[in-house]
Amino acid sequence: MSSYFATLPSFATDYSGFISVMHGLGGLMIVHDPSGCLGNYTNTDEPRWYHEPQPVFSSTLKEIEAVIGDTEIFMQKALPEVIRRKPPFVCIFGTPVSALTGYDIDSLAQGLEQRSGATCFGIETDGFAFYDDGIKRALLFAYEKLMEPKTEQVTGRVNVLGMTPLDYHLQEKDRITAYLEANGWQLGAFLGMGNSLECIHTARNAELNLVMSASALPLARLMQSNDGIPFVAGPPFGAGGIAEIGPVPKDLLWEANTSLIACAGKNVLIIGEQLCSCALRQAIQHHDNRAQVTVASFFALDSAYAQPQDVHLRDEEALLGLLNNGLFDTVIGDPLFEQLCTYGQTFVARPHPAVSSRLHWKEPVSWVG
Amino acid sequence: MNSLCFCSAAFGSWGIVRLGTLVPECKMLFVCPYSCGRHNSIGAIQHGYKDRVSYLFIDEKDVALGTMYDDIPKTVHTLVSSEPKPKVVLIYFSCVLYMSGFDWDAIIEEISQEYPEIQFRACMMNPVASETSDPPVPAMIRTLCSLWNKDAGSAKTVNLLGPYSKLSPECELYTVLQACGAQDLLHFTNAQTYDDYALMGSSMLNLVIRPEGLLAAKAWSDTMNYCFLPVSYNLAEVSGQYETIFEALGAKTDLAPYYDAVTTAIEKARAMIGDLPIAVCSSATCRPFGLAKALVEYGFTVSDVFSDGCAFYDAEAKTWLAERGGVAFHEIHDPSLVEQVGHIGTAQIAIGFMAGYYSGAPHVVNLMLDEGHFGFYGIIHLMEMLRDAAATQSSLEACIERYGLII
Repeated sequence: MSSYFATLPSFATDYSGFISVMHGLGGLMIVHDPSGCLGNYTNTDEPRWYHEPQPVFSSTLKEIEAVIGDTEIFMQKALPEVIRRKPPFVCIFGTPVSALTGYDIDSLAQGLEQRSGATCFGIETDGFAFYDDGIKRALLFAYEKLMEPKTEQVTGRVNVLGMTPLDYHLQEKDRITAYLEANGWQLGAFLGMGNSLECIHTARNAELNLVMSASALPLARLMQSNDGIPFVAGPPFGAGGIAEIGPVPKDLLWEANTSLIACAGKNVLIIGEQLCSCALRQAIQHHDNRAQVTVASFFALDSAYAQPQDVHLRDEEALLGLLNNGLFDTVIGDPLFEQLCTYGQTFVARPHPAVSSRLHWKEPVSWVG
Repeated sequence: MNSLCFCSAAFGSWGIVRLGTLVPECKMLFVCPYSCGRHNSIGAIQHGYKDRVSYLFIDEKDVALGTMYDDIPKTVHTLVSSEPKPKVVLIYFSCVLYMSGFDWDAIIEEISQEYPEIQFRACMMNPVASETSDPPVPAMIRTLCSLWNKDAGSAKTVNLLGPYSKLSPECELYTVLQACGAQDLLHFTNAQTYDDYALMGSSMLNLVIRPEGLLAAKAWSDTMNYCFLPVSYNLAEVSGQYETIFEALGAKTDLAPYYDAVTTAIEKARAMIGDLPIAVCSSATCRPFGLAKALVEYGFTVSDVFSDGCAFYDAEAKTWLAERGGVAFHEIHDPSLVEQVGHIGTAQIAIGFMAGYYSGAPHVVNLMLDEGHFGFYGIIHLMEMLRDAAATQSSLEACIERYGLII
C-alpha cells in the first residue's frame, strides 16, 4: 500500500541496515543494483564511509542484464574481485530492480561460491522495507552463518547487539564500552559498530546480551532460547543505568540527558527507535511519576516492550495526526519532525540518523548516561 | 563497467530530482520504493527545495496490482490544490516502474486532461538505463527542455545547455555573443517564472558546453541549431570553439584582447605552484584528460587523472598523455581503490573532489562540474583557484558536505 510523504524524507532501508551491521567484519558486500541503491548507503546511511570505506560494491546492474536475467555478466564482474580479495564471506544483496525482475539472489550466491570457492550468501533485501528489518536480518544471519556453536560460558562477557550508526552517534561505541568496563564487564561481540570477526565467532559464549535496538530482540531471544544467554533491553539512559549491569559512572553522565529528563512535560511523545525511546520514558517517569509518555515509531515496535498507548506509525499522515491531536506538551524526536508540530508543543531534538541522515548525524546525542 | 563499482564518498553531483528545481513554478512528485527516495529527499532538505518535492512510496504489491494508477492522480490533486499552485508538475519514476511496463504516458494523459492549465511531464530516475542511448541525466535535461515553448517566435538569444548553473558574469562569452548580435545568453536559472523559462524555445542557438545537454539539443535540432563545445582549458581549443560560435552566428569579433589576461594568469599560477604535482578528476570537469594535457602544456606537473571512463571528445588528450608518459590514470569506480583512499599518487594539489579524496592532496581546488566556466575566463579563473588552493589547506570533507553531493 502506497504512502504519501509530503514533508519528511524517506528513511534508511533494509540493505543499509544489513550492511551497517557487517561494517568492519571483512566480508565482501555486493549490492546487485544499478549503483544508485548503493549510493543510499554510502551517501546517506553510513557516517563511517568517508574515513572508513569498506569493500562494499555495486554490481552496476543494467537494463539488458535485468531483462534477460543474464547472471554471467554479474559473474564476470564479481568473480575477479572475490578471487583477488579472498574474503572470509561474501554477501550479495537484492534491491528493488532485482526483486522486481525475480532475480534469484540465493542462486546467484551459490553460483559465485561454486566458481570462486569463497563462502557466499544471497541476502533477499529489496529496498521496500526500512533499515530495522535489515539490521534484524543481519543479526540473525550473523548467528546462523558467522557465530560458532557455544563451547563454554565466559563469565562477565557481554555482547552488544543491534547498535549501529543508524540509531546511535558514532561516539556511543566508546561510551557504551566505557560503561560496561566501568562495571567490570568484558566486551564480547559488538555487532553493528565494527568488530572483529573473531569476536563474532565466539559470541555464543557470552554471559549476557545487551540489546540496543528493537531490531536485535529476535536474535537476543534466539540466543536466550538456544544458548541460555539472558538479555537486557535498551541503552543505559540516566544515572541508574541498567540493573543487571550497573549504574552509569559520574564521568559518563550526559548533561543534556539529565536536563532532558528533568524538563520533559507531563504528556510526552517520543518518536524514534523503540528501545531508545523506552529507556528515555523510563528515565522521565522515574524522575516524575505523573508523566504520561507515549512512544511512537516508524520502525520495529516489539509488543513486549510497548505500552498500550504506544503507536506504530505507517506514514507521515499518521504522525501528523498524532502530533496534532492536542494530547502532548512535549515532543522528543528527530529535528525533522518538528516542522509537523502545529500548536506550539515544546520540541526536543534528538537526531536519529536513520531519519535525518547526514543533516544531523554529526550532532552529539547520547543514549548512554 | 566490466567490474564491480566502488562508490566513493566524493561521488555524486546534483541528482535527477534537483534538476527539476531548474524549472520555475514547478512541483515534483517522486513515485518509488523507499530506498530510491532516500538520498534525493535528504538532498532536497539540505538544498532547501523539499517544499517542492513530495514522495509517493510504493511497495511490491503496488507494483504488482498497479495501484499507482489510482494513487498518482489522487496525489497530484493534493499537489496542485496546495499553494503555491504549480504551472508544471514533474512526476518521477524510478527503475522499478521503468522496468515493470508501467504506462506513465497514460497517467500523464489522464492528469493533463484533468488539469489542462498545468504542464505534466514523466521523468525517469533510472540508473539501470545509464548505458543506453537515454541515460538518466541527459534524458532529464531533454525533458526539462521539452517545457520550452516551440511557438514563442524567434529571438536573438542563445541558450546555454549542459551546466546546472549559469556562467560567471565575468565570463567573456556574454560580451562576445553581444558583439556578434546575440541579445542574451539564457540559462534555466535566468527565468523567475515559467513563462520566462518557456521563452527559451524561441532562441536561435543551443550552446552545449557539457555533455549533459546534448540529448536536449539534438531533440530541438529541427528548429534550433546547436554547437557542442565542451568546456576546455586549452587556449588553442578555446579559440577554436569561438570560431565555431562565430560560424554558427554568422558574425565574429576580435578575441585578441583576451589572450594577454590568460597568459598572465597562467604565468602567475605557474610561478606560485612550480613543480608541485597536480591531480585532476572528472568531478571537476567534463574533460579531465584535456585539462591535464593543457596544464602540462602550460608547464605544470600533472601526476594523476581520476576519471569515470573517457568521453569521445577527451580521447585525443588521453592518448597524448599516455604517449608522453608521466601521468597515472585511475578509474574512479575501480574496487581496488578502496584500500588506497587518500594515498593514491603523489599530488599535492587536487582539482576536484574525486582527485582530492583519492590522492589525499592537502590543497584542493573546489571545482565541480566546470561550474561557472567557459572560454578564456574558465582558464583564468581556474588559475586563480589553483593559486588560492596552493595558498591554503582546506578540509575536503567539509567541502563535500557543503556541496551536498547527491547520487
